Amino acid sequence: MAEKGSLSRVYDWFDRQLPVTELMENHATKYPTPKNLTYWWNFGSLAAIFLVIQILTGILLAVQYKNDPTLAFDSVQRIVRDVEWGWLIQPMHAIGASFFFLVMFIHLGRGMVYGSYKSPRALLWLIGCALFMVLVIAGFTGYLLPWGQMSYWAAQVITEVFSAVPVVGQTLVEWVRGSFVVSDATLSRMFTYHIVLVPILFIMLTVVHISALHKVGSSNPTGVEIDKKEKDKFATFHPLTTAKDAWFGLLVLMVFFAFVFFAPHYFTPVAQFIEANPLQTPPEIVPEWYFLSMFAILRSIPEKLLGVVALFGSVGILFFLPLLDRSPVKRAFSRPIFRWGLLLFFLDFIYLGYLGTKPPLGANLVAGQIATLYYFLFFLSLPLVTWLEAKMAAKKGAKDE
Amino acid sequence: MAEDFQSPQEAGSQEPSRKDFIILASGAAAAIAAAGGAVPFIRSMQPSLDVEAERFAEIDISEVPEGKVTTFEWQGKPVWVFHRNAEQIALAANPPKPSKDPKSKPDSERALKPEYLIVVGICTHLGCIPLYEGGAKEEWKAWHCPCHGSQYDMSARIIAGPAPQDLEVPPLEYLSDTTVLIGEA
Ligand code: HEM
Ligand code: FES
Repeated sequence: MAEKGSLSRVYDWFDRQLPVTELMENHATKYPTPKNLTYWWNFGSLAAIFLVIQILTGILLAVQYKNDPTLAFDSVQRIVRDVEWGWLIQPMHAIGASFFFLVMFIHLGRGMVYGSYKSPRALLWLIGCALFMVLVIAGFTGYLLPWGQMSYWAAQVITEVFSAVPVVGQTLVEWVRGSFVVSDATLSRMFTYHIVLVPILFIMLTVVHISALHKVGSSNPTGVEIDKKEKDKFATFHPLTTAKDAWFGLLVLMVFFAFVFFAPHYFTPVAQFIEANPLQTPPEIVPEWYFLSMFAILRSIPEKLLGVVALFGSVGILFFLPLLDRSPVKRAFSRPIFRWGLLLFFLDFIYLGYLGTKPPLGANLVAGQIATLYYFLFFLSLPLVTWLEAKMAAKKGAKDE
Repeated sequence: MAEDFQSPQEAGSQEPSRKDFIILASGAAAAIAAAGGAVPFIRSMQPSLDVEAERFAEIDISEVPEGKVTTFEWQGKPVWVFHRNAEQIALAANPPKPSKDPKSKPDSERALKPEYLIVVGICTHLGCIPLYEGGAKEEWKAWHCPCHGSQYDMSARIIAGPAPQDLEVPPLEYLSDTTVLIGEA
């Protein structure tokens, strides 16, 4: 055997004291992935790409940003105008948030279509739901930081939501804000959550998410689990998945950078370019597009407490999906009722988002209430749907015999 | 291993063993200690003393023009002093439509002096600031909320829209004819 080069001696020095090779082999070079995964299975790695973008650009922004109500607004304008390359870093972070949510919705939707929340991936799904909650918190806390009118009033409306809690409501609101209204105290804490708590949770949960994934393995589009022993149905993660993730990632990044370069304020409402004014509500308060559906659910229920319960329930109910849907069939396309129910659910979600941009009056209010009802009915009817589908399958089985 | 901690009599019995007891007791002690230890962390997020100092505000209402609203600040919130004219007082006293708030009070209890209605200018729906229109569109309507369309009358009572309550009358006390102390210990 040839004399070992100095580079591999360095490598060996590490490998003897850290499971470098072991980790690389188990999680990359020898990790088996089903060969038949479609591009819907790319969105997890896309989420990771956007997580990295958010963390890197976020660190650079935090270096320049000032978390004080008298300085915050100007400091963001300064980043865009005066800081070297700030015109790139700031929109990357802002547009990145939108792309992160978009990728997340598709990743979640893939999970629903292919029954990724079912055994053996129920825990993986739950960790994913926790990640989604962190993303929601990231979106909410981050939006306050530029201290524009929309930042301020969105935060005011959302923190006020806690006042619906019986008895302790007002105390809770003051505890969340650190003052009577959204103010200096609120900005400081939201900034801290956004740059400390959120990234820590993101990174920790992502590691746990991937660990859980690599313990149970990916599902696949057929909806039938592949036996680990059927070696010919698997390819190693590298080079198949790495190549696929890389080229698809670059494709999405092209679209992403098209926004960053040519429409950096595409998702920013006009009111965001006016500094926050605690004594002046903008004529219309509309949240970012990715919160519109939840916003529509909140608004369509006239009773305050119920509206808030529905708001939190709309995200919380995702955690119960593995419990509600006990059908052994994973693939939605193979299920006679569920597939239409799920399609309608996706359309319903988009429609709610559309309603979120309209004032909840007259026909829009009724439409919002029906759409909200279906949103929850979809989940709550799953035990019934599963039971009906089992009956249909039994009937068909009997006929075939 | 486990047997090491048990006396021979305990080993076979169904009674909670001494080991179970020690685990439960130390677990409970640790939980209480953790809850106690969490108090400072949770408390530190409450409004601090400098914020608490804003619990009171003393305002001078002598300059508010008749038929108009002036905004003062209390706890960082807008407080409106609505100096009503005779017509507006009459509309407030006999509202053409009832309030949606089940706990709604008559105007005489909301405005200590009928000329001055003092309310917190924050919509009871989700905290936006309603806009004053002073009867310009409909004679009973004094404010509408731009966020989700709540409508308030001349006594700032909720007449239509998603807000559940009338605009809040803050705790207040007339220190003199023109100075008002807002806030409550
Ligand atoms: C920061 C956010 C997230 C990151 C970085 C992430 C990352 C990943 C990656 C890399 C994969 C493997 C590739 C793939 O199947 O797409 C994956 C799979 C999965 N993720 Fe996520 N994920 C995130 C959020 C979520 C959320 C919000 C959910 C759902 C509530 C979720 C549920 C799942 C499930 C169930 C799988 C297994 C899919 C299957 O094989 O059928 N993840 N995730
Ligand atoms: S906040 Fe005023 S109507 Fe909703």
